Amino acid sequence: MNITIRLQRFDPETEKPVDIYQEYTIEISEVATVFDAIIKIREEIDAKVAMRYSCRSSICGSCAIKINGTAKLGCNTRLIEVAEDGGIITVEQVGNLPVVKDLVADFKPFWDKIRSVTPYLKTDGPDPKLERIDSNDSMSNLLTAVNCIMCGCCVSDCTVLKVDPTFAGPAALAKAWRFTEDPRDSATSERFATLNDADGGIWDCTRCMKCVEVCPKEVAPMDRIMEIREAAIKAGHTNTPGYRHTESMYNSVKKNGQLDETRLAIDSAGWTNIPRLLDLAPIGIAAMHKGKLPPILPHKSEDHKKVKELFESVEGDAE
Amino acid sequence: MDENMAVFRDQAGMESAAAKVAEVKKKLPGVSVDNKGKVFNIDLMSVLKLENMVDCAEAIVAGGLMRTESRGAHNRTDLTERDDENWLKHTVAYQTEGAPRMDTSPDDITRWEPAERVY
Repeated sequence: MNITIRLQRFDPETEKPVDIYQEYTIEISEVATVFDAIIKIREEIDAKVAMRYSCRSSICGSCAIKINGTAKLGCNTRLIEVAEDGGIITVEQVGNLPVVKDLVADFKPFWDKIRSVTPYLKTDGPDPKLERIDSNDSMSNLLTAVNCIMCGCCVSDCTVLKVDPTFAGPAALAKAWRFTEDPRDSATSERFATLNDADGGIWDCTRCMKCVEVCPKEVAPMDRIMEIREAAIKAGHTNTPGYRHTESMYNSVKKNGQLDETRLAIDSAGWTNIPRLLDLAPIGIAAMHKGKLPPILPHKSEDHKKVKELFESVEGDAE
Repeated sequence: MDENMAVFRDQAGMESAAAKVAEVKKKLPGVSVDNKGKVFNIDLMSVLKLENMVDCAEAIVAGGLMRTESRGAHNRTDLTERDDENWLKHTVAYQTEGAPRMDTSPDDITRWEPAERVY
């Protein structure tokens, strides 16, 4: 088939490095992958095109790139999946990471965040003679996160990292889950305490699902983050804005049938957290000027009794 | 290498592989690097890899030609028998200026006695 690859180029060795897009039209087999197309361009047209790759079979996780705006592995994305004969495919660097050259991203921030979650087993007591063995079930439970090949697709398309680079991010948090779930690990409580951190921890995820969509290995990082939240709450780690936010939303909807936004903001900050409350004040004043300040006293929705019944029915079923 | 030096091999095939590898090695000094960049230069990486591939290919071909028996993944269609009397030992290749110098070293048999594959 005939295909045009619109390639994002960045050369750090030019005087004023800028992103440019270059188009390469090539004739290539229908079953070829985007990766094959880039290699063909590199071998036959432009030897300067830089891309990171190794295994060519979606095991090594080196070739994550943005294909038509979405992070994918170049080696397991066939051209026909993303374009018709004669079509154009836009290929760019992964997002949320600095660029080194062309399609090569600098993964240092990625690895720093993986390291920040202590990605290894921490155990008490003397080492066993051979190895620490646990049940097959408890180990196969870990498979989702163990399947992670650290390609960075989830980090690339994470909508939180885009606005808040301090967020630990989906890959590191999925890795953290792998150890909070491991029955052999004895640092679970410390791990929860760190992951609960108000800056960049588990509560910063907005549940947009993007990481679940783009992960080529079905790690479903967002689901792992939600599981850490649940486990942390069960273990009593509730002194966080994130937990208070969840609880306040639950209480207000159950009681009033709708969200009490004023209370939600104050509950999340904590009623005694004066600095955070002072932070909120300008937001409240700005909202008031625009006529968007939520009511100070909660309104009850007309159907609030029905909502309450619904809550009780669902919670009754759960028990 | 794919054609003549895979699992099933014979004398003629290995000799033709040897000739081909020698031919490629001769051409090697003429290889140039188009990309002169200092950052993530895949072109340069490929050339360095090519040199190493030729070194490995030479050792593989010489080792195959030396071992006059069949053993494991070295399956000679012209010498199908395994010969423990002469070949129960490692192949060792040393890099030299010219062709690799071939030698052997004794096997260190521990827990598992080597046995013929019978399937």
